[in-house]
This record gives sequence, structure tokens and C-alpha cells, in this order.
Amino acid sequence: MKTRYTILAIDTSCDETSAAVTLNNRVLSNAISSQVEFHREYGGVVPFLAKRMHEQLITPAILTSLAQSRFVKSVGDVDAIAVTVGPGLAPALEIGIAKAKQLSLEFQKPLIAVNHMESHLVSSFALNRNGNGPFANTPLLFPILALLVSGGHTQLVLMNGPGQYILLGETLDDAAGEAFDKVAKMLDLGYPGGSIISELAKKGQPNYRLPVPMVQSGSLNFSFSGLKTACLYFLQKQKRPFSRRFTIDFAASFERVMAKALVLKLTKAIEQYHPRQILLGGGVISNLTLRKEARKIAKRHGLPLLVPYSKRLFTDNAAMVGVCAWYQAKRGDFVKDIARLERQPNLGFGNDENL
Amino acid sequence: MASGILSQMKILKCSDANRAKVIAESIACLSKGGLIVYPTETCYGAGVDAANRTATLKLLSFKGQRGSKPIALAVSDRTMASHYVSINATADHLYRTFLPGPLTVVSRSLATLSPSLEAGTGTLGIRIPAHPLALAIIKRLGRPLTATSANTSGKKPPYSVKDFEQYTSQKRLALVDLFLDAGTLPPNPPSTVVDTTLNEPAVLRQGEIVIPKHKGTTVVSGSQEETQRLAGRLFSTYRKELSHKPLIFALQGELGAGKTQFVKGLAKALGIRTNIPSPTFVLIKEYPYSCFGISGTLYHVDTWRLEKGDEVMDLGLGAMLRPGNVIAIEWLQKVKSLLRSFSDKAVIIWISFAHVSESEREIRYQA
Repeated sequence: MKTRYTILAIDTSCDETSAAVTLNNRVLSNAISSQVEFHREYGGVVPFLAKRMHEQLITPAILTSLAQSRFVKSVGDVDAIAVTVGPGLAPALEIGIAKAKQLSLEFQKPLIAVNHMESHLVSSFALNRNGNGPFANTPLLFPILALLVSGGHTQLVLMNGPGQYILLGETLDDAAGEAFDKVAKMLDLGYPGGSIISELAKKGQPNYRLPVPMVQSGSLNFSFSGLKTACLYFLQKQKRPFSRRFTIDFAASFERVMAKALVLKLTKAIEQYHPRQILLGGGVISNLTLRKEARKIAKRHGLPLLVPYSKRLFTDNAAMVGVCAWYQAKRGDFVKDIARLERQPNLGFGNDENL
Repeated sequence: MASGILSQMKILKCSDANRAKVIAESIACLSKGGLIVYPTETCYGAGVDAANRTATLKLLSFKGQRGSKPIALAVSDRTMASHYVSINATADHLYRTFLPGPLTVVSRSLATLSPSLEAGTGTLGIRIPAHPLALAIIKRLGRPLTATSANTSGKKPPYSVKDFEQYTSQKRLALVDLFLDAGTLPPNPPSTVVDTTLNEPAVLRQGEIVIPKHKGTTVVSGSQEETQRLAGRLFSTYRKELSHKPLIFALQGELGAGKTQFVKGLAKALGIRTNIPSPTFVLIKEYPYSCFGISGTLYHVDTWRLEKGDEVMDLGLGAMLRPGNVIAIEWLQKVKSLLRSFSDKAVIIWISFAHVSESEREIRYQA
């Protein structure tokens, strides 16, 4: 394989239309449809449905990623195409896959099918254009334990080597990011309000007692629907409209309980599987309390905790897909029959029954 | 009768001729935080200016020990009501159909008044009395009057001064400032009370007005497992239809009411062994199944994040409508009318969930 391997990566797993150009594990560009500069270039706010259906945005996203790479000029210049095939929303995945197939055939480029959650996991391996990132001067030391927390997923994954994963635990009901958004809605903070909770919580005191959600002690699974219902009952008893003080303190209380629940299982997984490195991935890791608590636990076990070098790698994006695809290309993991490649909306980490 | 104490309560005979005087005196009394007894189309009501917290406390001591039961408000029109409660579509329909009249509509409170008037769940009952004098006083006051029957808790509601004096203790009579005596009122039962904050209007007290009830069966589930079992039972009732039509389970209910639990039960009944997490973020999750000699897909659709219900068509709902497929849709309100248009293409089972207590849910279903 070439020592300088460029990939055009596409991700349309759910809300975001994203395209990126990567060079090995370096990110050269990462165009994401909801980002401000993208809007500026393509005129105004993208209608919700269009954004979700990706059709109008996929080509602009690809063109932006090529231009911003300042390295490749057209699809013809890259070494391979990568696309997310799952998990995600089936009709959304289809659009990215169809585009990737078309480019792959048109430009005669190999195609790499990427698992969206695997790419969240490897997002910490990404380096920026100049080669800086959490793993710039650190080798991968297996086993690596990853906590992936996003709007749609909450997973604990053990990585035993390149492409070798074990799903240790996941949410049985609501994802952590979803719980943030739903409680934000209950607090009249609108949708999606998860990040507003995190922002408000910085100024608040966690004075309100909420139950720490736990799934039976032996398991590494998560459950957040009980906490959601507890919040609903608690808030129903409060005087409306909520005062600013109350909202801030409740946000802090909720955030603390969420961080506690996540870190509790992370700790359990560390004790059971003795990893050598800890990774965080997914949109919810922009929450500072969660990062702080996770860091504390990692330190207590003498382990390094690594997070992606940029916030743009936390939420859904194609750069992580490109980086993941480079690791796949190195082990020869290409799509063999492009015509038969299909979306896999329930794609898991191999050992779960969703496959 | 201890007339010494009674003498504090002024009894004002009301007629069309002295209407202006009665209104003026009532307003003067209410403005000073006074408690009046006034006629309505049901029984006599005990009224204070609902925005005056001291007067509200006075009313509560008049009513006596009554737990945390809420006190309804009498308003002059829907606009006045909208300053105190949030009127949803269900409530709006009831206002337009039945008010003014003997109906108390319970809505979510905007918490602008004393919390002691509200139910523990943050709701407030509102009625518009179909009585010209009561309406005129409220209109002039510009604020709601409390609308509770003028009896001490547990005693008979009064329909005349005589009733009132007979059933009210001397101590409590002393709290009343003015009695607007419109003679003996017709023996109409107290108003019907309807809670509109649930998915379907729930009659809390039956009066003269009967709210047409939806057909259907209601069960109370005491646990998540029970909700799952109910889903399994319901599925087996309609299973045979799958060979020629898809099944749609249309699920309606608040956050945390058990909708996803229900879908977990459906999945179990279909022999799907994988975990069924919430589809809120990805909008749709699909689970292929094969059992009872039928193959198909269970689609778990969540419209909570959708701006408009018809977006589900763009998400491929039309293509899902094939025999053998089971479609569970959460947050029904957004897609109700859309689903109705499929009633010839699919068997639709309408299911609503309501919180009864922290562990109990009332589940109503109907095909």
C-alpha cells in the first residue's frame, strides 16, 4: 500500500451530511452540513428535512471537502472512497452509499465500508494536518477501552487489536445524549437542548437529588429511561415557569448523575478488562463534567485518557470515517462486490445480535 | 341561629332591577379581599379574587381540611383563561363545545396564581359559569373568581341561603362577607370535571355534561414487564391479519409513559431476541423477523424529533406498508391524520399511555 494514502470519506448516518479528505490518519478537511461555514458557502439555513435527507447536500459537501483539503483537487486524485454503511437511519445511509458506489465506479477507486461506531472509536487516533493529536507520539497499547456516548448510542467497547472489537455494554433504552435532550425539553430549553444543559450546569450547584441510573451490578449495560421518568416527576412538582436559578441547579444535578452513571460502568469495565488506554468518543463527550470524572477514574487506575483533538471529531463527521477506513485499508478490508453493498442500519460490533 | 355572628355576612337579594348595585358591592367586597357566595348554573359558589393570595387563604380556611384538592377558577371567557392555563387542542375543543356551561376544564397551569389553587401535578381547573350575574362580576373584576361550591369540605353543596346556613358552621359563616341571594337554584349537579392534560380527555367528576368517550379497552399496567406482556397479547390478537395486511401500532403518550416498553414486548412476541433501544435519534430502527410462518420487519418509528408528521413519508413509511410488516410509531399526535388515511391499507391499533403513579400506567387500546 502507498505510504501516503488519501481517502475521500462520506458519512450520512443520521442528521449530518459530511464529507472529508484524509491522508493516512491525518485529517485534511472535514465538511459537516450543520457547521456555520458550510451554510455561508451554500446559502442560508438548510431546511430540516433537506438536511436529514442529504440529497441536496451530498455533492456540495464532497466539493467542499476536496477544496478544503488543499491536497487533492478531484475525486480522481484520491486513493480510495470510504462510506458509512451503518448503524444509522436506513434512508439516510442509502444516500451516502449510493453516492460512494457511483464515485467508486466512475473513478475506478476501491471502496471501503465503514462502521459508524467503529469510526467514533478511532476518532481519537486522528491527527490534524500537521500531524498533531493525542496519539501523535503515543503508540496504540491494546487492549484499549472506549466509552462512546452520543445522541443515538451509549457503548463500552474493548479493542483488542486492529479491527478486533468486543461490545462490553450498551444502553438498553435511551442513549445518554437523548436523555440530555429530553430533559432539556422538560426544562423548556427546546430541542436539541443537551448542550444547553451542559452550558447551564457550569454555573449551577448540583443540589437536587436524582437517582443514579443503574442496571444490575454485574452488567456493563446502561439504562437512562428511569432517570428520565424520575426527572419528569420531579419537574411536574415544581412551580412553572422554572426560575433561572432552579434550571441551572437542576441542570447541574442532572449532569452530575449522568456523568456518575457513565463513569460507574467505565470503572467497572476497567477493573474487569484491565485496558492499557482509555478513549472517549461521541458528541456527549463535549460535556466537561463527564470528561473530568472520566479523567479522574483513569488517573486513579494509572491509565492515559485520550479524546479526539477537535470538537468536530466528537459529533457525527466524515473525517473519523476516513481515518477508520485507512486502518481498514491497511488490513486489506475493501468492499469486494460493490454492486451488492447494502446499508446495515443495525450494524454492531460483531458480537451483538443486531447484525 | 347565632345572629350575632351571622350579622357580619351581608345577604343581598338579587334581581334584574338591582343588578348594577349587586355588581358594584360585589366588586368592592372582592377588591378588599372579601369572600362572597354567588349563584351559578349549578350550586352556589364561594368566590374570592383568585389573584389575591390573602383572600385565597381565607377561602381555603372556609373550605376546611381537604387534602391537596385543587380549587377551580371561574373566568368570563377563553381569553381570560389563557392567562392562567395553557389551552391545548383537547381543551380548546371543550371550550368551544360546552362553555359557558357546567364543565370544569383541567389544563396545565401557567403558575401565575397561588399554588394552593393547583393540583399537585401543576394543573388548574377552569370553568365559565352560564350565569349572567356571575359572568358580569368576573368581567368587571377583570380577574378570575374561585369557583368552588360554597360548602365546607364533605358537606352538601348549597342551592339556597337556607341550605347554606344549615350546613355551614358558625365559625366558617363568619368568614363570609357577602351572600348574593338569587333564591333557590335549580337542583343541577356540580359541573363535570375533565382533565385535558392526558392523551384523551379524562372525566374526573361526572356532572350533567357527558363527554363522548372513545371506544376501547383500558387496563392499568403495574410494571414494565406487564406492559410488555400486554403488547404480546395484543399482537397475538391481530397476528392472523399479518398475512394480508401490515399491522400499525400507533402509540401515544408522554415521555416515560412506556411506549418503548410496549415495542420491546412486540419484539419479544415476534421472536426478535436483540435489545430494542429507543429510536429517538435515528428516527427509525428496523428488525427483520421470521416466526409463525411469516417473515417481515418490525419497524420502530419515533417522530419526537420530526418537525412535521408527514416527514415520515420521506422516511419511507409508504414502503413499509406491506403484509407481514409490523410498524410501531411513537408520538402519534404528529401523524394521526396521516395514519388514518392508511386505514384501508393496514390494520391500525391505537394505543394511549398515561401516567397513573410512578410505577403504574393506564393503557387504552382500540383497533
